Amino acid sequence: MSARLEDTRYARYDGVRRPPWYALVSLARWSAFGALGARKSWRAKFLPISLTLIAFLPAFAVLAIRAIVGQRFADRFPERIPYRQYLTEIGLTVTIFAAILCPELLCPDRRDNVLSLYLSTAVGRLTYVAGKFLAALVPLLCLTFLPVLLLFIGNTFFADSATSYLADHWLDFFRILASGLLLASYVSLVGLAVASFTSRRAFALGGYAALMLIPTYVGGALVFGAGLDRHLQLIMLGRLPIAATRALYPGSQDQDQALAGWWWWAACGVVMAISAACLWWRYRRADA
Amino acid sequence: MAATAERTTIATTGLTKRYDDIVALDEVSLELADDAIGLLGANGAGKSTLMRALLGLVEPDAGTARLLGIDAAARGLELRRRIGYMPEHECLPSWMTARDLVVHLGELRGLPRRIAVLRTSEVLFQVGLEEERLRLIGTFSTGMRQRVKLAQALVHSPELVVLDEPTNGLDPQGREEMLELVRRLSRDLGIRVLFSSHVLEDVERTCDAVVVLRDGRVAAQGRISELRGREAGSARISAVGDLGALRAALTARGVRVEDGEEGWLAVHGDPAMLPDAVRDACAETDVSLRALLPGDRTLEDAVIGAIA
Repeated sequence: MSARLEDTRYARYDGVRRPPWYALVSLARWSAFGALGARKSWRAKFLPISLTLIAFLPAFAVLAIRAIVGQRFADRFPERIPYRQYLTEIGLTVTIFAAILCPELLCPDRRDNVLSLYLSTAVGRLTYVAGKFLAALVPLLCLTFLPVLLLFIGNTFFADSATSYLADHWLDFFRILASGLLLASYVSLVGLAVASFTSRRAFALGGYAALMLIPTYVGGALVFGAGLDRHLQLIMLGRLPIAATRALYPGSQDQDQALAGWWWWAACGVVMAISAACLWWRYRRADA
Repeated sequence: MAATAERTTIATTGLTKRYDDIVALDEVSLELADDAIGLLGANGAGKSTLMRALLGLVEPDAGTARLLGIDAAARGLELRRRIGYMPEHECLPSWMTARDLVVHLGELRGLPRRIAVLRTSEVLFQVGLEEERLRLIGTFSTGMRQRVKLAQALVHSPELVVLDEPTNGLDPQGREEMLELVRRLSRDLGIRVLFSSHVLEDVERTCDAVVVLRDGRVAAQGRISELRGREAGSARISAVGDLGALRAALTARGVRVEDGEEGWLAVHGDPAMLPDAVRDACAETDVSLRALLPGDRTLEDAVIGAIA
């Protein structure tokens, strides 16, 4: 048993300091945790956790059934939800998640004037915007990439020969990664761009929902209802990223293929570029 | 030469900043190396603009600004990682705890996470918020928020802290405590301080040197003791009795006597002889000497003289 005296006076620190990129990671991590309800009541955590579980549900269901039923339907179950179809199934969930997450990342900082505190420390405008983008992207990847990856790993595990399955489907891994990144980046950028225009979360959420839903319904009505030019599908902002991810997989035989894949990819790129430009424009002159 | 630049706390040359037709800073040139420097001036005198220019947050229209020898315009980010800044305005996230915010801002300035957590405990203890560290900032009083702002400015062990009106909005007790904290920074903790205020007493109590700004121009700068301008061979006396006889007795001893404020007499003479001459004159005329004080000007006199 020994006693120890602790010196609680302020001491200088001359040890190692992290390089500037560490600030980016720190900003992203703290922002993401805050937006997902860390240190807040269970009500703040409820929606993010629920939506994440919903996104995993199809993968859990398919793998559970395969585990229970066994090899008899081994070849059929993967096709119940093919990889290219997975993001279509959870597209609405991802959109709702982004609609909740993105305003939480930007609006409280604007409301409490925290941006000026960040900018007056060691964070530049570009680092701030990049940190917030990362804070949106990483949690969204948990919905757009991890469930499909889980399905891929499960399918590999349940296959008669894991090595044969991997040899046949190794390209699917990269398609899954690219799809997840594309969808998560798209909804992150659009969500953050909308949220950057207001300090009120409700307005940001409403604006994002309107931007994603109204053009989608209008475009659908014009093309599939009124029979106008099929290129008008490209104004369907809510459908663009899903169609673009589906186009990454070969052999899709649905309506998306009425337009070549590069149309969807180009349209996604344009929307993402405009969103990034909006975001940058909103923060380039923000006061410190 | 490099060591000299490093030792200089503030150095500006011809610093000018305009906002449309308003000249916020007008060719401000300073060079001060003291540990605690006060920026004094009325609201709108240019204090905040000067601070923001020194931090590299405002791009000057002309001139240069250096803090700790670092060019603020060219190396603003690097500078802000090395120093601490306590903004004047409300800027704390209401949804974070004091501990989380200070850890976070420590990490933003390059502290490894474990170190940031350790140092956060230290600085929250130093500013008197250790017990409240896990409370949400949104529930804090103004005084506690000011302490959080000070803690975040100190967490990364800065060489210098820039404090923009840290006593704003505080009650008398809170103000006393904040001034004591600020004084401790340079006196006990070895951190250089740049402190802005429009309250002269606050600057006088916490700083070694002062820059007085008026309408964006430097009205006065230098060490406070020098600005007071101690006049060797001058004193102020307060006495009760026949003051006419006292004046005559002092004059007979070669002391020049002038009327001072509120019944005080200002006396000027040979510094070595003056106290004895006053004592002897009082004894000779049977006048009771109530006070004999050095003939310093107050900082207030100096400031008023500078801006008049």
